[in-house]
Amino acid sequence: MPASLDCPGADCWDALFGDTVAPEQRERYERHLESCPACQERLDQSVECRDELVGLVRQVGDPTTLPPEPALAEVLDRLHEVTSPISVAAVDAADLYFLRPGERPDLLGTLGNYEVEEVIGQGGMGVVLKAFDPALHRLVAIKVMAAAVAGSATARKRFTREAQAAAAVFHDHVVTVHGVHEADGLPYLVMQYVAGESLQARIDRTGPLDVVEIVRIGMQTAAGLAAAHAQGLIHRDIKPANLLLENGLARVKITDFGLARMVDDVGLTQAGVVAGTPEYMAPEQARGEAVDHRADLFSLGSVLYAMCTGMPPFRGSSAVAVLRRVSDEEPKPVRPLNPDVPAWLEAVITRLMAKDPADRFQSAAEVAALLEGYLAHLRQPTLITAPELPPSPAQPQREGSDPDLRIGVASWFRRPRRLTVLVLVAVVGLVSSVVLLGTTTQEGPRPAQEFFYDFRGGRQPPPCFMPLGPDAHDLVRPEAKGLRITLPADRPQTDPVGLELTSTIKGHCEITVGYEILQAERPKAGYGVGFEFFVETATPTREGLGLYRVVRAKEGEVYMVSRNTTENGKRQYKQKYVPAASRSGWLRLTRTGTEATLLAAEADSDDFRELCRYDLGAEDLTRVRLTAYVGYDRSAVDVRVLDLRIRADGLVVDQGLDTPMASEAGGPTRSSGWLAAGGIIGLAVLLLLLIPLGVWFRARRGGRAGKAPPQDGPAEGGATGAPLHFRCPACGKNLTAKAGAAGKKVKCPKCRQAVLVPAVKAGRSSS
Amino acid sequence: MAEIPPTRASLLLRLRDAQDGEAWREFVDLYAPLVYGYARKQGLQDADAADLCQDVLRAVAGAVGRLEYDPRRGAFRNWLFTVVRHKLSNWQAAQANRAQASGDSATHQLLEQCPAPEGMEGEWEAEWERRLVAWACEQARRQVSDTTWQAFWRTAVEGQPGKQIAADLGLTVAAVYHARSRILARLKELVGSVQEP
Repeated sequence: MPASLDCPGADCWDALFGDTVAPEQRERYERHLESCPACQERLDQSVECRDELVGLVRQVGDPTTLPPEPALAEVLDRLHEVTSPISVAAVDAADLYFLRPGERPDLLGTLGNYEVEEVIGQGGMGVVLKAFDPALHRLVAIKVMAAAVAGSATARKRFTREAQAAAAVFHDHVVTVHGVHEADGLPYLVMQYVAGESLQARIDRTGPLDVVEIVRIGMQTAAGLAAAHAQGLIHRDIKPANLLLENGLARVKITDFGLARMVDDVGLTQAGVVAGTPEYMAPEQARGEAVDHRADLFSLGSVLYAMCTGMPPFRGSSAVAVLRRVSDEEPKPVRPLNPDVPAWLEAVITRLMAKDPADRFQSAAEVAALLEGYLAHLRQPTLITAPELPPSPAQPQREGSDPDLRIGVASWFRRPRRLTVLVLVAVVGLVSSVVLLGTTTQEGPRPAQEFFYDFRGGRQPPPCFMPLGPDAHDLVRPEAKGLRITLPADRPQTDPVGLELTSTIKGHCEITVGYEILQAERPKAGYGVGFEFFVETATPTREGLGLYRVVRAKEGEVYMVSRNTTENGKRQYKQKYVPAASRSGWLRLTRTGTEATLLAAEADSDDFRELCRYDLGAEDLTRVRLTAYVGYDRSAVDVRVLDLRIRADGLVVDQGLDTPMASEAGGPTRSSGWLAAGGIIGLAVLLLLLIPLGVWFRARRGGRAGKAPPQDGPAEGGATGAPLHFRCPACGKNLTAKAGAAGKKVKCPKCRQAVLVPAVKAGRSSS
Repeated sequence: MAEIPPTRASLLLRLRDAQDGEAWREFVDLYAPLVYGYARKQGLQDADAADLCQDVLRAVAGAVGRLEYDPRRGAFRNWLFTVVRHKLSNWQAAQANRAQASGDSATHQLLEQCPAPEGMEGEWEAEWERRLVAWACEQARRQVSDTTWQAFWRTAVEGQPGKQIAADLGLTVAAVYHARSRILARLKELVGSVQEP
């Protein structure tokens, strides 16, 4: 039947069924369709019926008539209910499978020697039970790890270790841990039983608290945290639900020390599975960066905020949304929400909740003392004035403020570097001592921090090293000669396997790793197989630099240098290969300003040669990976990691509790005044001695002008007549100018920017 | 037909969001049948296939949450396939040991006739396509009324005339075609939510 002229066209039907038609048109079309066989027929034959997906649906058949798969249905049920890594299942008998039947009918059962009376709480970590200890005749609270968490050996070990550490903290405001035990391989924690409610329950019940109460609870929490921090213990999950208010006594007890981090071990989720909410988390935690005790101070600020306003500072429809807010947004000011809150309390909260840990109070003890002062003022406002809020720490003394970090303070200004500067000055020759002062303040002695870990000796690496790769637990093992990583041939995955150091490395830095390749067959294809050393910036998808010692299909033994950058959402890889001789040695990355230099030394030599340079930017480095690498190949690889050394302007290593780090402790930071004085004397003496030496040195190395000495030596160029080599700060192009051009501007031929010619090019040495 | 929920982010992304409990369910519903179906095709019995399936899904779930799966290295299902193959070869090795111990040479021979990896990959892809479509149909069907689903099925899949379907189901003719358009769009969206580069 042919369609008549007044039939709507195909586009009209598309509009109708795509819901993009005006209501009055819709009615007209629908009426027409009801009575027009031609249009019906056309629609019956519509392209939709010939759609590829419809064809597939036809092949698969009606879901309601497919043959049943009972075994599958059963698995689906099991997976839905039992192993959901995300949803927290309700407590039922199945979750208490670890209990043995007890003699008394009013008990749930027994666990070890404890008589379990009831379930008092539950979270992603496990259940909390109220039990009676007949031996000591007291009530206890028992926390049992969830089966999913207990499945991970790392999580079990850490649970035990952290619990033992928590047991060492005795404080009025910390729940006492009696001990950690195990039943049938399932670890459980026995704690003091606190009768009362949590702060969360209290806020839910009453809304915002009185100011006196807020300050008292805040003060007690800070005091409890100070005691734990003094033991090197970070809570990581301070929130109202973890603060218990003991009945009758107005006393706060902090519970669940250090338990939050186990969730990371099993990888249940990145986002605060313990409570299902990251609302009180510090921004550095939200970003997955290394944290120190100041993360707890941020959370304390969030708790104060919640007590003032009745709600957490950051809320969102999902954990991810909350995390984004925690990281990027400022909370709404407290006082408009609760006018009873005094300005000083708002100021304390703002300081605690500073995004940058360096801008917060630097210790819990400081906060406790301050709040105690305010509390005294609140009680006797006419007699005692409110304390002054101390000024914000302008230049944070990181190493002094990290009681849980025993990182050695080492001066970058060791002998060779001092020599470098002096030789450099001597080569410049005619430059006055004013320049020396300028140089030392600019390039001068930085309070560098150092981390060193020796993998030799067969110890289990500390928890700051996280296993990397799905099968890492089987393939990585500590041995007397170093950390051995053995990948068998034809392993199903091609992921790199090894360790990742979680840390924050700021500013100038030097990272050196010692390695040995025991076995690496020449692969058939791929980037190569061997050892990988990789660093990533804090924004994990932005910049990564890898330095590899690999065997390639074609070239054989090479160093491979790789830079991965993300621009406009696209990942770009740059690779470079440099011939290598020995299968052991050191790989090193240094960063000066934004420029990263990758270097390698063969075997036992400490003669580092430069492989290449990249602009890495100035962002913090947060991950250092040491792995065996197979590219896309499936060859067998066997490597050993010997040691890792990091020196940096700022260094925070998320190292857990025990710190078997043999940090090479240097002397205290030398003042630049001392240095300048030494420099001037040195200048006077060395000017005479070193000008000829510098000229001789340059002449001797003339043929290798392009290659800087690996350790220390004079920088190229200067006022001696040799050309000045430098980089365009705008586009990075290597530029050359006449010696006399120092201090003048030249135009970069590439980007056409006016560039100031530096007097001396900064030395390439890295120590 | 306002019963169809709006577009959501890709399933794997949602899986990393702790609050999105529904994502885990959808994930299990999609990938467990794939692993199970494939294991059955490789000659595993009902119960063995179910065990293997549970094993794989547990292993994978942890890794996805930890972001160990790296999308740059290829599609998720390819990664899943390597995990499955690994578990399968472990299972087969265990079977072979048992067969040798019991002198059951027939079983052993059967195992030695395992298909080559190329064939395995093809079978995996075929199973994926089938399970993906079945999953999308099941998800879509659950989100609409039975009548709407019937209307879609009969017009789009079986090619019956709209007028007839409308009369049988007590709908207007327009409603029948509407059901077809909406559900087809929903199916595409569901398939798209797990389609990977």
